[in-house]
Amino acid sequence: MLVSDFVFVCAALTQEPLQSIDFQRDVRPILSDKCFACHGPDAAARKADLRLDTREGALADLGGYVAVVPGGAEESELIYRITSEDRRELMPPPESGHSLTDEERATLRAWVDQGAEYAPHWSFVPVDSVLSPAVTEEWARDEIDSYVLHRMKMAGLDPQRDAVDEDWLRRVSFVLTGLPPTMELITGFPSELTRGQVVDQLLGSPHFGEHFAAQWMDIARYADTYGYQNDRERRVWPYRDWVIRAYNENLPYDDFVRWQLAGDMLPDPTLEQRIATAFQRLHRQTNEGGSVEEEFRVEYVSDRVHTMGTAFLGLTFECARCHDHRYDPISQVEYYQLSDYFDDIKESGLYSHFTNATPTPAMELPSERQSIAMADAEAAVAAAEAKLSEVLQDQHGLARVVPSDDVEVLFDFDTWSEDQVSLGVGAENAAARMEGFFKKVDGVRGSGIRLNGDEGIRFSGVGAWRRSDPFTVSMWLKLDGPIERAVLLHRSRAWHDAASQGWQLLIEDGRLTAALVHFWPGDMAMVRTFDPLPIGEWIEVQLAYDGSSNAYGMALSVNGESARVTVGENSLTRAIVGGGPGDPSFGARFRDRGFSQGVLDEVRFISGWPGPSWDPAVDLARADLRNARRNRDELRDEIPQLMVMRERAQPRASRFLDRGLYDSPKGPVGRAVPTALLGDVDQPKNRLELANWMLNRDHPLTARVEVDRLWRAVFGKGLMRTPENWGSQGELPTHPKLLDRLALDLMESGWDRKAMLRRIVLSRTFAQARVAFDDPSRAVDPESRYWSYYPDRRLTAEMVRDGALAHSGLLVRKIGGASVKPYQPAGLWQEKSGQVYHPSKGEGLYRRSLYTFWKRTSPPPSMMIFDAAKRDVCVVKRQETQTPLQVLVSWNDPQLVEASRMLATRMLRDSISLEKLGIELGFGPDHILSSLSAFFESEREAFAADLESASALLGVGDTPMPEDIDLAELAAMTIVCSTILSSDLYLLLP
Amino acid sequence: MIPPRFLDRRDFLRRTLGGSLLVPTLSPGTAPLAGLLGRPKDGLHHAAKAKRVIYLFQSGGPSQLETFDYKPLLNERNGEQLPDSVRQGQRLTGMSGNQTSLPLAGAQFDFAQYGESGAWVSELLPHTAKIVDKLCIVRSMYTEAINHDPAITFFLTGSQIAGRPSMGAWLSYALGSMTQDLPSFVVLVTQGKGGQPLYARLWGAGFLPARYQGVQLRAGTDPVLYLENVPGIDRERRRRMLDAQAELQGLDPGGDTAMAKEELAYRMQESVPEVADLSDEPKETFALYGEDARKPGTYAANALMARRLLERGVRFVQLFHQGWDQHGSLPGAIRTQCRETDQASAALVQDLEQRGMLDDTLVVWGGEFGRTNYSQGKLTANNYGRDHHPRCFSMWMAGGGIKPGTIYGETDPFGYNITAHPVHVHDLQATLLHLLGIDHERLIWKYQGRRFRLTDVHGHVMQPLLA
Repeated sequence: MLVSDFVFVCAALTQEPLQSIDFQRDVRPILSDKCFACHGPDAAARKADLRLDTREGALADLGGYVAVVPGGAEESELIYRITSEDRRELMPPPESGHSLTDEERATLRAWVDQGAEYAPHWSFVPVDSVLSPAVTEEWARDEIDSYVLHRMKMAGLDPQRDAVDEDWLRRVSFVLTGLPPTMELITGFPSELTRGQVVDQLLGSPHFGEHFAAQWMDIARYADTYGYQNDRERRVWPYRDWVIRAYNENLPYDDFVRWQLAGDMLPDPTLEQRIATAFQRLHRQTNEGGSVEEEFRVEYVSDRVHTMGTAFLGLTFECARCHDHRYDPISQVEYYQLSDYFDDIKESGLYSHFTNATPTPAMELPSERQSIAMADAEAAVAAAEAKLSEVLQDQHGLARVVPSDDVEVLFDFDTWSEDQVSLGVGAENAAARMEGFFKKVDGVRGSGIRLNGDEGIRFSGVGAWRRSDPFTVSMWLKLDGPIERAVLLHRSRAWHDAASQGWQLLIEDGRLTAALVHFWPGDMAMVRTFDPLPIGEWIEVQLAYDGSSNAYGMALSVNGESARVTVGENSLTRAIVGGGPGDPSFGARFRDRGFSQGVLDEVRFISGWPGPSWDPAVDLARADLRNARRNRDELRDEIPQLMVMRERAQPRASRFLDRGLYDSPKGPVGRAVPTALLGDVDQPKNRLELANWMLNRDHPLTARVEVDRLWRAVFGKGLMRTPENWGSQGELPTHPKLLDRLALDLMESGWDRKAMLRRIVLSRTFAQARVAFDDPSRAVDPESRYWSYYPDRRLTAEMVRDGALAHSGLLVRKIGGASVKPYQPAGLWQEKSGQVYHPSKGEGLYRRSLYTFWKRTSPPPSMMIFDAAKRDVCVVKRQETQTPLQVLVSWNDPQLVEASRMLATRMLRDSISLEKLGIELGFGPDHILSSLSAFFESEREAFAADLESASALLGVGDTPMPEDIDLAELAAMTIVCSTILSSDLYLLLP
Repeated sequence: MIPPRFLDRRDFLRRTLGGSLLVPTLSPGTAPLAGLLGRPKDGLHHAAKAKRVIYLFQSGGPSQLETFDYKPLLNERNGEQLPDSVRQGQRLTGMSGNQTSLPLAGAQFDFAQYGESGAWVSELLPHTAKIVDKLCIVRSMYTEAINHDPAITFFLTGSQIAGRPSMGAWLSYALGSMTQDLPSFVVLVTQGKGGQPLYARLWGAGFLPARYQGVQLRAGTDPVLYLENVPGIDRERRRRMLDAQAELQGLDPGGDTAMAKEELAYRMQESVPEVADLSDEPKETFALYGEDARKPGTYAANALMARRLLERGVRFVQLFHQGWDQHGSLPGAIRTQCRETDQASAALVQDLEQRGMLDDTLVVWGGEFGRTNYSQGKLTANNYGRDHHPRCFSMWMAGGGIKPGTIYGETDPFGYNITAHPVHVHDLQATLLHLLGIDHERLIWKYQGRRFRLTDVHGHVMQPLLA
C-alpha cells in the first residue's frame, strides 16, 4: 500500500493542483528539509520538546496545545506558527535561513486537514511485490518499458525514436566495457548479430569486468598510496584484480557484498574471499610523526562504517557520529553499535614511518613457486625441530633460565672514559656509548648508572638478531617506584613510528614485557610477567628466546626464577630487523618514554642458545634448526602481503564516543543494527551476520541501491537521483515501482547482475535516441526523469583515454597486475612531497586507466580534470563538468597526441579513408568526417613547407616514429585525428 | 519501426551542444548557478570591503615566539620546566609527549617595538616591521588539530576531514570570476622547499563542482597543466584546428557559444604565459620585492605574480611556502624562512597600496598552528626546537576592510595559553567571508542532504578587526 501511495512524483513536476496529499511525496520533503533539524530525530538538538518526524510526536500534548490536530488546521499550533506574521513566533525562525513557500504552507495545511497521516520513509520499507502497469503498446519490449511508458503517457510524453544502430552499438559498448565497439562488432552488427548477441559478447568480454571495476574503485576509495601527507605507496592492487574477476565471473551481488564485508569470517575462507576484505582497509592511513595512534585508529573504524553505509545502503551514517542524525532515524548510540562490528581487528592508527611493513591484519599472497618453496621450508623446520628434541632428550627445555655465568658480552659500568663505558667481558667485540646525560651511581656490583629517560645508552657489536636467532639478554635494575611505562633494552627504531619493529624489553604497568615485533599490534610475539616487578631493591631481569618466532619460546625470569607470564600476542610471521639502526640501546627510544625512575647495572647479551650443550650432536642439531628457520623466514619475508580483515579472538568492546571524540569514550554500547532499518531481527553478532542482515530479502535498501547503481551505469543517471543519500533528505526515485520491481527481480535472480544489465540495455527505454537541445520534450522532461530520451552523457575520464588508445591501436589489452604510470607532466609529485614520478616504459604507458597508479595527494591530473573522484572517501556519484582545462588535456596530453599519431599511422598504412574512419569510430556511415579532408590537405601543405614542425609533432610519445610514411602527410593526419578526439563528436556518448 | 533518420547527424550534434551542461569555468558573472541554494543571489549578502584575496600560507606552523609574540619571561626562565599550572594537562603530540623534560625556551632573537601601534616584531622580520601600521596582527589565533594534515585541512576547508571544498573554491562559487582569460582561484607554491607535503585537496573543490577548484600555476614553461601546445603545433595551427573542429561540429568557426570552453582554453594559452612573464616589470619592482623575484618559483616571484594575477581579475590567490616545521634546530631554520619571505610579503602590501589596490584587496599571512614554548629535544646554549602548538599563534592581515595598525589578542607571559580575545579558525574564515560581502552562515551547499558551510556550524565575524 505504501509503495503504491507515493508513486506519482510527476504531480509535483507538472504542477497539478494538490488534491490528495501524500505524505511521502508532498509532506516529508518539507518537514525534513525545513523542520527536522530542530524537531526531528536528534533528541539533543530538539527544541520545545516537539518532534515532527513521528506522528506520535506531532500529535503530542505540549502542555495545553498540540502541534498537529488531525483534521483541524486551525487548531494546530504548527499551522499557526508557520503562518504567523509575528517574527518572534514564525517558524522556521527567520534567522535560521530556512523559510516556507506559500505552496509549502498550503500543502502542510491541506495535509493536516486531510488527517495528518504519516508513513514510514519509503526507502526504509521492505521491497514489496509490485504489479507492472498494463501497457499494451507495441513499443514496450521489457517490463521496464511498460513502467516507463506508463508514466510518460501520464505526463503527456511520447517515447523518443530509437537511436540508429551505430549509435546504439557505440553507446552499449561504452556502457558495458568502457571501450568503443571493436571492428568485428561494427561490421557484424546488425547484419549478422542481433542486439542480444552483441550484448552477450560485451558482457562476456574481459573488458566488462575492467569497466565495472573502474566504477567500483570510486566506491572502494581505492588508491595505490596511503593518503594523508606522506602518502607512501602501498600494494593493494590484488584487491582491484579481485573486483575485476568478480565482475567478469558474475559473482552474485550477495557474495560480492558478503565477501568484502566479511569474507574472512566465512567457514574456511578461500584466498579470494579474504582478498575481498581489503575493501575495508583501503581508507586513508597516516604515518605523520606525533599523531595520536588512537585518534586515527578511531578514524579508520569510522571510515569503514561510512563506506559501508554509503556504498551498500545509500545512507549517511557519518551524520550520527557526533550527535543523533538530524534527519534520519539513526541515533548516535546506534552509530556506535554499528561501528562496533568494524572495530575488532588488530590494527594501528599509524602505518610505519621507518619500515615498509604492511599494516596488520595482513594476508600473504604467495606465488605458486613461493607456496611450494614455503611448504618445503616448513617441512625442513619441522624435521630439524624433531631432530633437536630427539638429541636433547631431557637435557634442557628449549627456553629456560640461563645461569648467570653464561656471558657473551657484559657491560658492568665499573670503569669509565669520557662517554665510553667499560666492558666486563667481550670488549674486543662490542662497545657502548652514552647518548647524553648519565650519572654514575652505586651499582649492584661496583658502580651502576642512572639516566634521564630521553637519552640512553647505545650499544654496538651485539644484539642485531633476526627472529631465527636464539638469544638471551639480562640486566640488573633498581626501580624508584611503580612505573607505568619505560623502555628498557631494545633493538628498534621507534614505537608508533616504526610499529615497534624489532625486539624490546619494556616495563608496562609495573610489569616486565618482552616482545618481538614485525608490526604492532598484529604481527608480533609478546609475553608479560604476571606479577609487577619488585620496587626499591636490586633485581635481575632476563629474557631468553629460542629462535622459534613463538611467544612460548620467550622465557622471562626475575632474580633467577622463571616468571609466570601471560602471552599477550603470538602472531609473529615476519622480519624484526627493519627500521635501523642495527644496534640495541637501553633506556630511551624515539618519541617513547625512557627509563628515568631507577638505576641500571650489569647488562648482558648472549647470542645463540644459552649455555654449552656438552654434546656436539646437540650443537649440530641446533645449528641445523637455526638454518632451517632462517631459510624459511627469508622465503617468507619475500612473499607479498595485503591488508585485509581478520577478527580478533577477543572482542574489543568499543565504546560510545561523546561528540565523536576519540578521547571522550563513554560506556560500551554493544552491537546492534539501527532499529528503524530492519531492526526487528535477531541482532547480528558479528560482521558476517551483519552482511547477511544486509542481504536479507526484507532489507529495504541493499537491492534497491544496487539495482539503481546498475541502472546508473547504463544511463549515466539513476532512477534515484541522489544516490549518495537514500534517507529523508534524499529525493524520491523517478519510478519507485520500477525500482522495486527491479530490486525484487535482482534478488529473485540470485543477485545476477549481468542478467540485470542485459535486460536494461536491451530495453526500448535504453534504445531511445538522445534529443536535440531545442527538442520540445526537453521542456517537459529537462533531466530525462521520465526517461523520455537517452540522457546527455559525456565520456568519463577513463573512457576518454581508453577510447583514444583503443582507436589508435595502442591499447594493451592485458587484464590486471601492478599499477602503471603513464605520462604525467613532470614535477607534480616532487613539488608537493619531494617524491619523483617515474613514468612507465613500454606497455605500462598504454594500459587501461583503471591501472593508472593512484597517488592520493597527487592523483593523475588528466583524470582529475575529467572529473574522476579523488578516492579519499567513498563516492557514489561523480561530478560532471566541462572546463577549458579538459580542452587543454585533449589538445596537449602526450597520451592523446600520441594516440592521434598512431591512429593517423594506421589510416595511412591501411589506406583508411576519413569516411571509413567515421565508420570505424562508430560515427555511422554519414561521411561526417569528410568535412575534414580539405583541412587535411591544407595542413599537409603547411607541414610539407615546415618539416621540422612535422617531425616535432610526430616525436611526441615513446612509440617510435614510423619511417615508411611521408612526414607531412602523417603530421597532417595526426592533426586531423587530434581534432576529432578533441571534439564533442568523440567526447559525447551518442 | 525504427523511424528514418530525420536529422542530419552534424545538425543533430550542433543542436545537442550548448545545452545545460556547458558551463565553462572561466565565464564571468554568476549566471550558471544563480538561484541555487544558499548562494548570494543578486550580488552579495552585504556590501563588500574586499573584492580579492591573497592568502600567504606559511605551511608547517611558523613559531609565534620568534616572530610576533614577544615573551621575555621565556628568556628569563630559559631551561626551567614548563609549569603544570601553565600546561593544564593539555595534550601534546606524540613527538614530545613522552619527553621527561619540557624545558622552556626563550627566543634567541631581539624584539623591538615598531610604528605607531608599537607592535613587537622580531629582528627576523625587518621589512614586515616597517609596515606594522598597515597590518592587523592577531596574536590569539587557536585551532583544534595538533598534526599537520588535519590542521592545514581544517584551516583551508573548515574541517579536519578530507572531502570539503577549500576556501578559495567556496569563494569562486560564491563570487564568480572577474576575468575571461584566467582562472578565478589560483595557487602558487614556492618551488624546491620540501618540508611538510602539500596536497591538491587543499585547493580542491570537495563536493562543489570541479570548476571551482584552484588552478595551480607552476613555475616554468607550463604554468597550467597541458597549457603549452605540443611541439609542432603553433598558435596559428591551433586556431585552424579549432575552426576545423567547429566545422566538424556544424558550428560557425570562432563565434559559436558551443565552442566556449575551447575558445577560453585558447585565450588562456596566451593570457597565462603573459602573466607569468615578469620581463615587463621595471627595476623598481625588483628593488621592492627583492632580486629573488627574478627567479621563477621563489616566494618573492610568486608574491609578485600574485599581484599581477589580481591586476588581471583573479579573485583569490593562495601562496604556499613550506618549511616552517622546526622541531629541531629552530634558530637557523627560521632565519632562512624569514629571509625568504619577509621582504616580499611586506613588498606585496606596499605594492598593492601604491597601486591603489590595497583598499579592496585582503592580504592574509599565517600558518596552520603555532609552536610550543618549551624545547622539543635538547635545549642548548644556542639551539632548540619547538613542537606543534595549536593553543595560540599569530597571524596578520592587511587591506580591504581590515583595521590597520591593530594588535589583537593576548597570550599569557609563557606564550602558552590565550588570555584575551581568542580567535578561532572558523572566526577567521567568517571574517574573511564577511569582508567579501558574504554571510558565512548563508553561504551553503547541500550535499548528501545536509547543508554545508565553510564554517560548519561555528564562526563569528571578528568586528574588532574591521575598519
